[in-house]
Amino acid sequence: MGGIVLNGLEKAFGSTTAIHQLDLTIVDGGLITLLGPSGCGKTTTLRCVAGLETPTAGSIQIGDTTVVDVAAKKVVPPHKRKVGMVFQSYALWPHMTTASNVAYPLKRRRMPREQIKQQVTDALKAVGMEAYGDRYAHELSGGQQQRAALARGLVSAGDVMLFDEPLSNLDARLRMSMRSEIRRLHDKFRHTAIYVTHDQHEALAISDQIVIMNGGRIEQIGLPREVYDRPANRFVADFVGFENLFDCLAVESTESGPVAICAGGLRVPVQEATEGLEPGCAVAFRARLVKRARPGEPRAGVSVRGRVVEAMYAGEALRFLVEIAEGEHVTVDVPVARYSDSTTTNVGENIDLFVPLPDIVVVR
Amino acid sequence: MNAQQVDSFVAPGAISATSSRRKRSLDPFGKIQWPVAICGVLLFVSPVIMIVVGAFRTTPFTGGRWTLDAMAEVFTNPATYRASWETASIAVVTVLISMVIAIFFVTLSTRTNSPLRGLIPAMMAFVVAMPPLFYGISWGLLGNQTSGLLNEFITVFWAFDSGPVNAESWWGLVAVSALRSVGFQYFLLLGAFMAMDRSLEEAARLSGASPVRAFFTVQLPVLFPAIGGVTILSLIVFLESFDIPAILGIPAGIYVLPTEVFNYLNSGAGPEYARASALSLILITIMLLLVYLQYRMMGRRSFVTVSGKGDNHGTWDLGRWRWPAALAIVLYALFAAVLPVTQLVVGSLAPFMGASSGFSFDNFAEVLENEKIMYAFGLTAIVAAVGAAIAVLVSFVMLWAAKLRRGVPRTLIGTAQWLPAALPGIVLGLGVLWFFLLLPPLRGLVGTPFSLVFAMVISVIPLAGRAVEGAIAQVPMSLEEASWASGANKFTALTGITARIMSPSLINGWLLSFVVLSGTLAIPLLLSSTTGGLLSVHVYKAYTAGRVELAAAIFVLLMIEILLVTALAVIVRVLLQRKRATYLGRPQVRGQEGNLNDENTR
Amino acid sequence: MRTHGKRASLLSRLGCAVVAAAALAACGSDRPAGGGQLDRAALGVTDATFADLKKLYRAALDEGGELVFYGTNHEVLAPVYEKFEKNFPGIKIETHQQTGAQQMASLQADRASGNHVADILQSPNALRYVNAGFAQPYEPPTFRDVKGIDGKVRDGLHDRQFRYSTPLFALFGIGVNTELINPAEVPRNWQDFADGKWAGKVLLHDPTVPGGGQGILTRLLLSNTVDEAWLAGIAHNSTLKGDYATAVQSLVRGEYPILLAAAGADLERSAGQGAPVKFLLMDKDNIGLADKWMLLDGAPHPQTAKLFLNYLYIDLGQQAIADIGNLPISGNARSPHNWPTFTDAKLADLPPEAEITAQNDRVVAILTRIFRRGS
Repeated sequence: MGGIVLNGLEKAFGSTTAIHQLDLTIVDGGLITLLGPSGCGKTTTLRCVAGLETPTAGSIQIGDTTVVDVAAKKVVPPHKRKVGMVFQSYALWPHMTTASNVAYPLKRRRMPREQIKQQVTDALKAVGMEAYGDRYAHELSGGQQQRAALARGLVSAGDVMLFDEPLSNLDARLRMSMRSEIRRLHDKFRHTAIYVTHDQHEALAISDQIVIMNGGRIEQIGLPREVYDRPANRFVADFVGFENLFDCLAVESTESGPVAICAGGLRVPVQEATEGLEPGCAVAFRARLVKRARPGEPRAGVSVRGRVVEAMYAGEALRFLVEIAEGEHVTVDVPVARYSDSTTTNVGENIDLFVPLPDIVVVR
Repeated sequence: MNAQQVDSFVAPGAISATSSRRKRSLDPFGKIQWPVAICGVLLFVSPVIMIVVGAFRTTPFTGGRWTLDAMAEVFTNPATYRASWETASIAVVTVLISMVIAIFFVTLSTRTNSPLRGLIPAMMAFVVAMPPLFYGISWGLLGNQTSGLLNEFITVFWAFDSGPVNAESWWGLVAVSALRSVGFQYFLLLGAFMAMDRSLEEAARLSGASPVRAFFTVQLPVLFPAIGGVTILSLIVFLESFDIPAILGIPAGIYVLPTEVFNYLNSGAGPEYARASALSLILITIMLLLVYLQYRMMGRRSFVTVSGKGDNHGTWDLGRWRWPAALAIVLYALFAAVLPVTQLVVGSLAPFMGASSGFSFDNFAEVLENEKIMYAFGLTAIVAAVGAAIAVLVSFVMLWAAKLRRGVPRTLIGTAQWLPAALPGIVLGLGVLWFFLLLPPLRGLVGTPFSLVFAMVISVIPLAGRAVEGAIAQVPMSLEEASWASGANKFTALTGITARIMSPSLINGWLLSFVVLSGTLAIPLLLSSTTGGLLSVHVYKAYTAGRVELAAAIFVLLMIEILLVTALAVIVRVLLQRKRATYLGRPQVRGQEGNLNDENTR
Repeated sequence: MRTHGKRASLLSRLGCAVVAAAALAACGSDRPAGGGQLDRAALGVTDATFADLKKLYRAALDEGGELVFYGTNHEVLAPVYEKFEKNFPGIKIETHQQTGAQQMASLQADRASGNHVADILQSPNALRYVNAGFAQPYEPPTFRDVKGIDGKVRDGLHDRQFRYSTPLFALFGIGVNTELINPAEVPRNWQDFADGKWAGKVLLHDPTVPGGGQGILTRLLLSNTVDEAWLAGIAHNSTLKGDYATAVQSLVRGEYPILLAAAGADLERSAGQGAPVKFLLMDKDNIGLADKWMLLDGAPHPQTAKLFLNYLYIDLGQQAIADIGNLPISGNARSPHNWPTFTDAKLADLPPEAEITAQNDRVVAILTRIFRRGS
């Protein structure tokens, strides 16, 4: 058994570099997600682990085996790496039945016939496809194809499972259920897994750890919760959906301690939660954590007043765009007022806003 | 603005067109299939029916009566069976060898980093453009045991009493036919190989298959329909090929079915239409059998799911095999194109074919000064261009209609467009002629360019169809559906979306058809009476009068014309592709629209 | 027809070709360049004939000055046509070269559709088209005036209703490559070629497929010049080529010294172009294929066609035939290749054409049995 260690991984296609000096360790049995916009190098990283690409520098270790070491000119070809992979297009072979698809990796490993049969049955049962073994790929629905591909990946995997955006061709509902299915199977088989996606919610739901990538570099590594709530930098904050981001312009000393002056005239006390805030950094917060302030209600946080310039109904919440200074807006989500509520907010109205200090994140 | 929305622009449904979805969404339009199927049967089957009828008539023209004599005569003649056996064995060996070579070169040019692989398409185009008559003659000269260039070259290095290479032999016939077949097989396979989803092969690699094993257990089987179709077509094309067997086979005592058909049609006692038709029935039967065989082999498996969704990187690094691969390309180019073309050009400069001195441009001067031949140049270009365009258009409409829905019409369309392939050119020409004579409204068109183009279109349909077929499979129906949804009617959707996206493949199909039609002889010989002869007819005249050198000069000019047109078509295709790249944006479609829904459900 | 030393104008010609091709859609067929005057001296005919020709010529111009031929041998005959066009200005000849099934189908199609295309058909096999009813009887007045043949021979050159007539014969003999063999050593009778000493030295266009080889061997057999034993000897000695043109090439390139059943016109032309070949006639039993010409029923330009048929029999036409290496029937024509005249040519005594046609299947069966031993 073993984890995966990427060391100084680099991959260039001609003059463009897809991955820059990537170091990453995935613990044995962990499921890590590579998350990022398209072209961020996540798929290339995955393919390097699979052996479908050869890196231009660095090394990859799977368990105790070094599968690639560019300096030592060592490359283990993909068919000897014993990894399972689920492709975006499923890549089910159309000339074989589902069962033959699943049996193929076992045949390649010269497993005895009865054992193959047993394993195929087990794998199909695990993904709930035992009834469809003799169907061809085109006779399956999208979700079933996905399950078949999963089963094939599972039997092929020695210690490592790789997922290349496996859910992106499914509709939203199916995606939700397959998501938990993949996690369930992971918990059952405990492969070391790398999962590539650009969908943050998928990543949040499925991963032990998330790696956010951009431009071939790692922006942040962390638990799903960390990444979602405490982004390390502007890119991650933006990527995981922080609607509000204000650059810090200066830090003033006041009686109650240092206060950072941010874009839009936002005054942010520099305390424990906002430690390290200084020019060059920025504060970020989510729209749904912004509150309507009752005037004269003192609390630790940021208060600001502005004029509502836009209001959008978004089902669970109302989203306001509030202008706090010329060209500077705060996005605010407020729960939709119940019909019994008397207070409503109109465009053009001036309102007071308040963000509790613990909900503010300092990003680089 | 959320960063993750930057690259979400296409619904995932757009790339997951399963067969059930396709079927459901197209049901209301199924009606269109029947008229297309009926037209197809009328177009392609009626000349064949005329041939079948012809086998049982004393004369296919007015005043004949029904008879079984011809059938009895042909099928009791042992020569028929000898020729059938000879034809079949040579066809099978030739096609097997040439398919292996063609697959090898398609793989080299689409999947590897072999040096010189960029030359392969040009080289193959050259081979296709070489008319079989001259291919046969060139190789007859090159591979002559006493005076062939090849043998003279070899005997410089090794001492042989007589040249070791003899083109006029069983293996010579097979080798030369195979070299030539590779050309069009390559083009017919190209689309399928390029469109194949690479992840299918990658999945095999990750499942523990070595590159070679992945190639043989996944890539080849997945491409089976394409490979099977091309194999069948090559078999049929060989079954009706006349020139090379006549030139290289007869000196070796090899007689094949097309030579026998020719013998009946040109018999000293006058043309024996009935016997020739009866013999052609063997070809038709074999062809139907082959198509049925392919259908059976495919069985329940459907290959529509093979599509170009995967990323296209991932060529094999051949490593130290790069140079042997390059050498293979050079060797093939030498034997299949350079040597025969050189022989042809040398012949066109010679005062007589086979001369070793006195070379000049006199033959070219003679051709260029001949108004009729010059006129024929333009006429041939126009007829071939129009014929090829119609053939591609007809194939496109028929195959598109066939794709709409499963059922009887689909089978009809599928089989009908194969039928013309089973008829040797002259027999097909006769079938078309009799068909026209049978219907009074069409009778007046006999001998006009209309009947000529009609027959040429039919003759080239099986070839054009293969090129179009591959292209149609690449276009997901959903793209067309999207344009219906956008308010386009069926026709606009077809021409505006499907045809536009496929246009590079359609141009390929057109080019292939154009090249073949430019050199085709049997049909214009029969049907071009009032239009003036096409170029091939002039070549035939010169050739039969022993003016081989003049015929060679005309052909050299024809090759130049074909190369110019090819260059033009390539430019158009490149322009179209560039345009297409801009309006389709990023080809790697990543479905993402579910995110907004997720936002709400959280 | 051939023009030498035109290399300089090659490029400009190519340019013209491109322009011509491009302009094709715009320009139709050229109208004949009006009428011209006939030059009696050049035609070399009597006053009475000249008057006849002049009348036909006027009528021809009125018909549009076009003339269309079906048949087999137009490329070889082209110089004869050019001479006609030169001496009868304003008339253009167009040819459609067809044989066998194609020829028959075209004629049938023309008749069935009512679109008659051709005026004249020329073929050694014209009889089959005559018998199928495609001919229009016509006796060219100039045919009677041909010098140097007696009445009996003359009557053998046409049928009773004059549905065809014969202005020339194609001569077949032996072609030799002079670099490989001294022509003096080559036998001048057919029989000797069956001798085993010629094994591996003789080329022959496969007599089991339709074409020259089959035609000549059939006639040699039916004229009793040779027998089946001779055929067996030839089958043993010779290398077969599936195509007459490749057989000629093979001789020219020196692959074999002798080509049996070679056409005189082809060999004389190759020799004229510098090829090391020579055409030899036999001392007796030479094979001449009668080239039959017929006026087609429903010809769109009947007067023009008649004018041309008359031209073939006047001295001018007969000499043109001799010049291209065919055998004209007139005793006045002089062969530039020193061939004998028609009456001196010692042609084999052939059965009537109808008899040859009737025997075809039987003879081909014999030839197939003997020449396809291998299979």
